[in-house]
Amino acid sequence: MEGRLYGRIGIVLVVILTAVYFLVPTIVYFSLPADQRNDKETFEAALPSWAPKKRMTLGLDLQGGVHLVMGVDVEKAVRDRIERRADEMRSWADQQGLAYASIQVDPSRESVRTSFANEQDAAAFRTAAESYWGDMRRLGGDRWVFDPVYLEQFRESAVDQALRTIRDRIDKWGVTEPTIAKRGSDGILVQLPGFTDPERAKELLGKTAQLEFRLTAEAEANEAIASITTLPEGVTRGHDGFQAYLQSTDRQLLEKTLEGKAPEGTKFFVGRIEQRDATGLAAPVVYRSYLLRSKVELTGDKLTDARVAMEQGGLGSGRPYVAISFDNEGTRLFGELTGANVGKRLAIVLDDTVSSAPTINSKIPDGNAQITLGTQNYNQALEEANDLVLVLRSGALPAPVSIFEERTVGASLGPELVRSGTTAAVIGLVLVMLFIGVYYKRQGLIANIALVLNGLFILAALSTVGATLTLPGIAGFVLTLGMAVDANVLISERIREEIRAGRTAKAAIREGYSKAFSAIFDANVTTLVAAFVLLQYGTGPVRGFAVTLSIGIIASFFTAIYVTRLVNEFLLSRGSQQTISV
Amino acid sequence: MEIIKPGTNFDFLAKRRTFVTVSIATILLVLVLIPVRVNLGVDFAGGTEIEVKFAQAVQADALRAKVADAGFGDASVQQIGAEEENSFLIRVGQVSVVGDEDLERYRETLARELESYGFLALDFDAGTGDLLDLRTEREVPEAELLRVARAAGLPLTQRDEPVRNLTRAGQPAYQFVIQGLSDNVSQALHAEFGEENVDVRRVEFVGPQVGKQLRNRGIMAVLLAMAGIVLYVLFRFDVRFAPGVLLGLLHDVAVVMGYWVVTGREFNLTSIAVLLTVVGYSVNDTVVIFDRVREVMTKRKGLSLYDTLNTAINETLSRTIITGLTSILALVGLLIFARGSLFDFAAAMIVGIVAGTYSSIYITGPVALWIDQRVQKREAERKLAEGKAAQA
Repeated sequence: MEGRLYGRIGIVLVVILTAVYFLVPTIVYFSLPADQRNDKETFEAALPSWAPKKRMTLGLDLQGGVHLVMGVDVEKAVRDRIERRADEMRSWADQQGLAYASIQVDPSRESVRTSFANEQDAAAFRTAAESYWGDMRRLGGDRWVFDPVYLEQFRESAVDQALRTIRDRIDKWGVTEPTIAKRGSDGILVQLPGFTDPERAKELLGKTAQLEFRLTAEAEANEAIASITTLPEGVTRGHDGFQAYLQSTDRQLLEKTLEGKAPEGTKFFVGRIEQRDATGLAAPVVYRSYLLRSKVELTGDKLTDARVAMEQGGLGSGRPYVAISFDNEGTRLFGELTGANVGKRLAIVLDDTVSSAPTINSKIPDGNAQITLGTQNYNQALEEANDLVLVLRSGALPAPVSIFEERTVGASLGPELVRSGTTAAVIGLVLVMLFIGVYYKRQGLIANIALVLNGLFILAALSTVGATLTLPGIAGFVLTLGMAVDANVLISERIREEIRAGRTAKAAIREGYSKAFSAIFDANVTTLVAAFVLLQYGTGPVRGFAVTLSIGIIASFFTAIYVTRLVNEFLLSRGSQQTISV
Repeated sequence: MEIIKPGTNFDFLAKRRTFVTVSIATILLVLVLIPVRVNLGVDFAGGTEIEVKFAQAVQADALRAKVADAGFGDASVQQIGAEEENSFLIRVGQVSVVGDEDLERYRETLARELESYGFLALDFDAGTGDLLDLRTEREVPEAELLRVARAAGLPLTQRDEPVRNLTRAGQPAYQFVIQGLSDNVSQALHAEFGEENVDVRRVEFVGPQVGKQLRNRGIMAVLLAMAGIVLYVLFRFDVRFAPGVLLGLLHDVAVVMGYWVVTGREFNLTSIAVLLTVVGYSVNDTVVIFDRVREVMTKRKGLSLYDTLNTAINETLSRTIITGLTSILALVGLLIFARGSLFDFAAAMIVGIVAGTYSSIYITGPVALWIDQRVQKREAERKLAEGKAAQA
């Protein structure tokens, strides 16, 4: 019996130590001055090497920042898409020498109507078009609509491309710890901690993406990179077989190093190097430089479409590539450009970020180009192809974004809220502990141990999952602790009843715990049901409240039942508690 | 120390008709009053809310006049915190600076000025409120667009790129970027009070579709939580208990909503959190009582449900009161120090805790009893009828 008791005490101590261990990063984080906390390097320098990395962060409502939900105007993108298709149909009919009377988008902008000078050409167009544009369907007569499956994919990719563009831009500013995620079917959630100029953010994020094609400047690059003799720490050299470059995980640092180093007529750009480890997981992003010509050869608005296709037959059969097509003017420009620069590389630049620099293999006169991917790995190639399609489409068919929701908290409000919130929390907890201590005497003091431990576990759990501490979260913390005392109230009341029924201290404690258990269990489960629903519903601050509540309820099973019972049994075994104080 | 002395034996069920009737009346009354009296915040109604703090003393009325001068006649201005804090909450129901009449005016001017380019349409998405779409037959140079926009008095953004060129495949299309509403308000305040004296501390903007979505999802969440809890009670306890639990929950939600009905304070996302927590809390009390009912039933077989319920409520009364008190005590700090929506959180939660305590004592039990009596009566009638049939 004695041995088992000490074993259980050991368990509790281990759990407490583990909780403290997981809290270390959070304690370090909050002990740093407010303006340095979010600097990754300062934080990591202050963190002991043995400590875990995950920590709690302050929510936007407490540290200031911008919360935006951007809506992607998917329907507009769809309407633009059909306009473009009509354009493609016209130029294709011209090429084939088919005499059409009109190829027009109908007023609802959902379908394209075609009419031809004679039935022979109309029939020829129908047969050819049906195999050429697999993504379209012919309704009765000569009305063409997009296939619903394709349209669904297109809508999704419109959101994806907006998401990608936004991510790239935020990446470029170097905002610390931004959140960028899809929300619902057409929304994008953006959170920028510490960023307090919402108009500026909206402006930058809402801009239409600029897609450009520029030639690389290989010889100049080798010279320019060689001329940079001293590199700051964290920047290294590399060579991709065509041109020398600098690389770093810190984009801002890399851009600073390259500043003013480009020879005349050229400009430095930055691109990403996709790196994967053996398991195929994406490694930390590495940025590299590209030296490109200042002249923009072609812009994205000349592009009509980009899609992933598979190679048919031959050695590379089944390998994914990216197929792009241009409008009439684009076809002419692209033909001239490729004809004059065979063997050179043409960089695809979106919003000043290079996404790829394929080599021009031959002149492309018909406006239909293929971009093959460097990698031999099928999955990786497919992923790269999809990404490139998103980039190209962002330039060709921008999906305009607008603001659905905006919440900004200025820098001055946060600290004030943290102060008043913690004061309120401390007062609430002190009142609860005083009351329980006085009302249930020794059992109350034991319940207070449980309460403190519950608080510790909630904070440790929040820290471990990297949760965000919000103002409602602080309120939820206090309320959860106040409500979790319920378990000890139930137990103490039971013990009182058992003593009144004439049981010994030991029996009263045993009975008290075992009889109270079913009530505690059922009561906690019902609260959990409500908390889980809130978790599904809530966003931002309210979610923080639900998380706290759920963790507190689960932790209270351990603290209020296991730990307090152990303390009671320990006191009994020491013989100091022959009578019970409750 | 004991607040509730052991051995209490109140007859909580004697006046059950009165209590249940009053509760149902409360539920109905609140239901009727919710649409007229609840003041939906921007989270649900859509709109813009701005919290500003001034360096010098400012009167609410004066501020209201200034905001109205800036073109927001329907704005509500409310002082928050202590008077010397000089903090105000400005709420504008509108989402955009562009109204219907404005749009008509812009359209006329642009149609006239851009006639030579073949003006087609000027569209405005009221849902987002910061973009105007222009389509023409022939391409218009950017300088010309800017000139025309100024002539028409479009409130273009002060930042770079007030006009976006979306021309694709030879179809000229442009977008004018309109100044955001919050920016407009803060600019007016800066101009009036001096930029260094105005601290825009918080801006919340919620588009109308999002507001509607959040509102519907909020209602769904509360209903879902209630359904989940009732299901759990069905599964863990007795079918006869479930209707009472449901009525109790409806009562609690109604009373908590009553807080917003009576005070006219803003109902927002945090309010939904309160409703859900109260639902969870109230059922907590009920479950503890039902747990005791279960126990009394096995210990003292043959006791009527009336007496069983009364015994269970009395035996758990002390716990019910103490837990209610600790939960309320935890909120006292917030009641003193928090402001805005967090104050409402604490206040409404306290209302909810009291309501939950009341409903688990006075509503859930009586309804269970009533249902039990109905079932037994029907059972007796059925037996009687069977007996008669057998005799015949």
